[in-house]
Amino acid sequence: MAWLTHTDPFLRAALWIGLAATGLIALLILQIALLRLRLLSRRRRSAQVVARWRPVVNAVLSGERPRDLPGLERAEEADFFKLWLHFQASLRGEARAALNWLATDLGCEQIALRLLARGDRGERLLAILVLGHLGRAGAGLRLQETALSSDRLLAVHASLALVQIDPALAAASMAPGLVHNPAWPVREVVTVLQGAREQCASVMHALLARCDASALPRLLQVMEGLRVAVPGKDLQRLLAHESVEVQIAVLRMVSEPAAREPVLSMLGHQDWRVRMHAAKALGRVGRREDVAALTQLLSDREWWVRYRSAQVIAGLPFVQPDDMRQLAQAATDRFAGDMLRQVMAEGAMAA
Amino acid sequence: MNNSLIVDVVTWFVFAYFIVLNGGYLTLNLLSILSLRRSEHRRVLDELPQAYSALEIPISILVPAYNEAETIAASVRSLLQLSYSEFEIVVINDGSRDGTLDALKAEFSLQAFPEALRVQIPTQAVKAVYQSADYPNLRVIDKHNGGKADALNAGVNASRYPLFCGVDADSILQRDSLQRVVRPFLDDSTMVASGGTIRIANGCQVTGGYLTQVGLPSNPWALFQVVEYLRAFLFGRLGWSAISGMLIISGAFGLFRKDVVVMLGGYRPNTIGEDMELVVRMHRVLRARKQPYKIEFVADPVCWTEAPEDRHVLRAQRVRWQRGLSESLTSNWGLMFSRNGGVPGWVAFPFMVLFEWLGPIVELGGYIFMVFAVWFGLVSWDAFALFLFVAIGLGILLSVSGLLLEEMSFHIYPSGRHLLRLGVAVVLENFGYRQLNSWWRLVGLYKWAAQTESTWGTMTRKGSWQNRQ
Repeated sequence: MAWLTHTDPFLRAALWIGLAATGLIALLILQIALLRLRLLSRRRRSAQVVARWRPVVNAVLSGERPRDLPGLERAEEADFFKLWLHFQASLRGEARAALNWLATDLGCEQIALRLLARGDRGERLLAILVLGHLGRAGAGLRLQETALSSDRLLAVHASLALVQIDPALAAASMAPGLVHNPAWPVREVVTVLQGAREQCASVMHALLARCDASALPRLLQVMEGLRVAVPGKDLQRLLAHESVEVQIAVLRMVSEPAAREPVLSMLGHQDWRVRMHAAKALGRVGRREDVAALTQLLSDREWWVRYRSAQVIAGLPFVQPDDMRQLAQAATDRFAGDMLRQVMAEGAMAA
Repeated sequence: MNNSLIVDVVTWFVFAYFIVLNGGYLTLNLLSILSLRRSEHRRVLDELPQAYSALEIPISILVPAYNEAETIAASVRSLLQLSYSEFEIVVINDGSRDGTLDALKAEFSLQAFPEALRVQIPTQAVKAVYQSADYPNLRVIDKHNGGKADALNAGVNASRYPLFCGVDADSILQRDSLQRVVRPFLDDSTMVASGGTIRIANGCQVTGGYLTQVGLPSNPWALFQVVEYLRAFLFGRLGWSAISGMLIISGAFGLFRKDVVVMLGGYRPNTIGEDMELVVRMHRVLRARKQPYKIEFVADPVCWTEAPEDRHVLRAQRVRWQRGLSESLTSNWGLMFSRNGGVPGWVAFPFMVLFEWLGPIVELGGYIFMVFAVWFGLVSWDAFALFLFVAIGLGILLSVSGLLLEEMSFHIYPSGRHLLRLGVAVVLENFGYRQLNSWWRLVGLYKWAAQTESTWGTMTRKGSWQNRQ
């Protein structure tokens, strides 16, 4: 008993912690049960919405234009949007126009604008996707605000929606900001701007003229992703740029024979990545007499330079399998021979 | 020092330990809830048909195989059906003695291929490289036995793409696994590794290498592991990931940036926990270099694995895991409280040492001490009962919270009956199973200290859930 009195604080604390844990367990179990019930009811409601609206959507897709469409109830909005978006993502052409007719008739633009302003994050995302497909300029202002938000998921999809609505306006207003915003990965920028590729070309060229050195690699990567060519007047200047990253980015885009000379001079660059990309570029802009320079690279100390050079040689239109075999046999460097044999085997497998 | 004082000190120590341990886990739990709530809206997009943007990063899937003749063909066939824009599969036959290579040759029309291997990480000698005539993106590396880490290193050497994904030969992946696990890399250029949630396949139906119906195992050992995995992944790793302190990416399915792994020297050979060791080393080296990096966890269930259904195999697995943990921590002491350690060095690593590594000693020590103290009359029965009440109560609370996270996010287990069975397992696992686990972990610690030689873990697979078609 004396010990019990002595450790009373311990016992009391333990008792309270145990009771608190038991209470929390009961609460969590109740929460799990409630979540499951809510899930079941949500699934039931979704199934009802789909059962009610799928025949309508199917009818519209088959060319009908029902005059007495049922109204879209508030509780149905999110599920209907999901159904409608699913069709939008799966179909092309006239079917999409038919879906837009249906959404317009049901007042989906106003509903989406309301959800974008006051919905939760999931509803806002659905609203953005719907507005993008509807392509109404009226939604532009709201979407622009969202495109600038710190919520990347919403910002990316709002930007995509803006491109869907008006590619030219989106290219002019968004491209410079996206290119200079390091928070956005290049892949994401390219994904967003892909729908406005043609409109982006002039914007990118203007940016190229006034871009500082630190932002150049990123700009060039975006241009490559969008398949926007570097103007001839800038090509020489950029190939001679002091930044290795810029050189690599430009080499990846070289496709003009005019760039052959500077590319040849880069085959001996101290950075292996430059040598590798120069070899690939030479494959696009080189001449028959450049095979010798590529053959030298087969003995490069870096595996990737050897591999790409061998691939380039094998891919040249005037190089036949027999030429490759002779080249491999004549190779005094074991690494060069091995690489040529690997690339020949790859070619044979692919044939 | 009299007995009463010793009892008091030990009692308070054990009590405080349990409180801090469970407090830490509950904090991780809260972080996981926030993280899950943040990512749940993305599922709106996942429900829509996926289109490739052609901007995904190509991935090399590395499949180390040792004596997997029975299952390797089915595993590779299922990997070939993954939904991703560009990937290659590199199977590494690590000196199998059971016809693994023959099974692959027969199934995929393998032809000898004169590969000019790029040896960036030293490994046991490669005997030959094969290329499938049917599948251009499938190659097989046949090498001398060197262990799983060595096999993975050989795979890294042979891989062609900037990201590689280590996959256990017996893993069952979701068709969109790669799309999900690559997301962190698309969102952040400093990402060096990402891992996904592993679930238990026992009780599920698998057809053609893919999961067709989710279920629960009837075997109690496997059922307890389902609860364990919910706990470990949904609030353990997700919570750590939320504060950039994740030290483990499961070897069953993890995605890594190749150049970083090569820079680190690859997987450490002759280790059991090569997956964890690599991640801890990544933290240590990249933090020491002040190189910006991220390691992230993807909560989506992307990979299913068969859990041991008998006590002996489970024991061997847990002993192996504890040894792996020991190796990973002790070979990376430099991370602990290092100048640039950040969350990994100042929070995650000490937590791992204190609660995961040395945990079994304190946990079992606590139980044993209380039993002795009661036996010798140093502690009252009331106090003993209270100790059990708190220890088991907190254990159940943690397991229930894992179940809550599952219910909040993925609802993998569809029926109410599943939920009820999991609820029962959540309670029952605290009466014996967890204590037994602590004992096995203690054995693992001892075996690590005794430095017994490490080899490929042998896992007796039943595959009773597999419907091979």
